[in-house]
Amino acid sequence: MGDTLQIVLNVLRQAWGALTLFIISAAVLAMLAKTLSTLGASSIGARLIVWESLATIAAVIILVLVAFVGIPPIVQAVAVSIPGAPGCGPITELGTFASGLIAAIAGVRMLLSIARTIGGAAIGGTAEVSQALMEVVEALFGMLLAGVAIPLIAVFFTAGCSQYQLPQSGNPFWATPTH
Amino acid sequence: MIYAYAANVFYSVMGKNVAASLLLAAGDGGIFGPILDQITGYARDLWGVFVGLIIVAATLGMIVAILRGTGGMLIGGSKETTVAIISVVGIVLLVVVAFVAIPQLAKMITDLKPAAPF
Repeated sequence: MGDTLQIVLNVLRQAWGALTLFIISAAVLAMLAKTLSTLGASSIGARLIVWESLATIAAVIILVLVAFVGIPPIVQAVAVSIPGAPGCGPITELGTFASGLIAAIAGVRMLLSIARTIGGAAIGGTAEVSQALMEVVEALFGMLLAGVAIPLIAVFFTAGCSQYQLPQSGNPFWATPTH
Repeated sequence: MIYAYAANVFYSVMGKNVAASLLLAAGDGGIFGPILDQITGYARDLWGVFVGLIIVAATLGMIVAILRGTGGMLIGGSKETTVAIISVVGIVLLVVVAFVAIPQLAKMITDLKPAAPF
């Protein structure tokens, strides 16, 4: 199970790297696209579009800073706070597997929401900072709830597992009570 | 003539800066490598398109502003002339800031790129 966890984590790390590169490309293109929009709007005297374009440029910079400076410490802090699964048996292994993946999945999810918003701005849309931050907070709360739920579920399924003795075959599903 | 030369210089400087930053940023993407290569290629092409469009839009904007100023001078309107001069200067400043600031921002963002925190 440990090897499987490492394989999945490696895939998620590569996804993280790919998303950071996409965010860099999309942010640069978004700023250039909005500069073009500002130029065109100022030529025809459309002041509202000029302000909207300038606001989108600022929003893209804010989103990139949130993604690159804010999200990694949050993911690290919450990953440290997620406890391992107590108890014994296969449920504990599954719990350990899940707790190792929670932070990785939530981190990639947060980065994906920001990448999607910046990508939308790069093709000419507006960068809705509030929508991106709401999705980041959703992923964060999901991670926290899962971090609380997994140990409780593991304790529920493995309650009293110390009372059981494994048979000679070692198959835990055929454990019999000792008393 | 001078304007075309300046445009070529801006284009080459911007292209080199951003291409360098993207090349430095691009590493081994693992299983996402082929997709990243495609996206980076399209991004470079789109960069060239946007730079060309900005130069065209800036040129047309300055011509429109000068036309307005000339019309104002024709009828003796000093306000129109002043607004036209300010518009031309503003467009030039906007283009220069964009062509200088955006590649520098790209380098700064690339330097801030974090490693996976898990």
